[in-house]
Amino acid sequence: MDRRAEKLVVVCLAQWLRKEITMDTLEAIRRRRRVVNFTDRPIEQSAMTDILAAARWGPSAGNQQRWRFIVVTEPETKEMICDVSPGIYGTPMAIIVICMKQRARSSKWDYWIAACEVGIAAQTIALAAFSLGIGSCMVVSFAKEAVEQILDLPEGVEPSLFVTLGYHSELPEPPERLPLSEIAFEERYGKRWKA
Amino acid sequence: MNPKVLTEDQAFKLLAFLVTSARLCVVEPENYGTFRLIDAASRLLGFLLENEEARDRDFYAHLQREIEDNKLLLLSDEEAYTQFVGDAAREIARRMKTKSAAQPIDV
Repeated sequence: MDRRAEKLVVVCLAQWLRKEITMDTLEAIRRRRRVVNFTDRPIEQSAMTDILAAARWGPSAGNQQRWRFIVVTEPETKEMICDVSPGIYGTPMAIIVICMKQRARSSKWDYWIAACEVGIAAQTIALAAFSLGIGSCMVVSFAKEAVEQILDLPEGVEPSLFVTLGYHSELPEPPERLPLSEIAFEERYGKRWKA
Repeated sequence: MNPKVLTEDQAFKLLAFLVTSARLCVVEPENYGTFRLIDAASRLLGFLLENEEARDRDFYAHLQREIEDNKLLLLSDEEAYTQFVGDAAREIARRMKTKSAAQPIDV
């Protein structure tokens, strides 16, 4: 087999393996948990690229795509971010800082929409990561001003949400959720959803 | 003579945690303040336990375990959480009295 054919086989095998190890969307939604006990296995650059590429496909009002993603893996920067973020637990291998890029004259409405999009992007990141075997935790408790300083954020770019990431050895037990009959209704509020 | 049980780095980490928590307390729900404080106490205990010279290690380890096991009660059972922080305060006071009885008073 010549070198090109060999390379092609390797690429096909890698794609097939990736397809095999990624999971069904509903399964990922159901099984994802908040993970704070990470192993020290680094996250491969290709996995991180897949995760970011997935986040890019989240819904965006008017396709404005005001999200910006900063991936922090360098130990010194990561430690600084952890130190100014009381909501970060454990030692993540990477932190994705999701920022909102505001327009020059943003209204409260713009802000609200951008915040929703950031939340959706975070969920997409968490699900994409989980389907690759990587655990995550969303964090909102950090001192914005300190993060802006550490990451040299320009004016108008605001850190909104973190997703901490890392491989995990085991998943926490699922928390209890309210039954559908209590939170979902048919046609009118109060008419319980029947499964 | 008291041993030095915190390095400057550890003290700085705690400083960062306290100042950034103060920032967050302005916007977070009111009862998060107590959570940040008890979490800071747990971090301080963690640093003390990292230092071989800390003298009261069993007490620190016990208190840290108590905090880690109970701090999230705040989210599910506020009454139990209040009971837990009250008990923790009582334990600290008891320990203070034991320590003060064991040490000669400086005059």
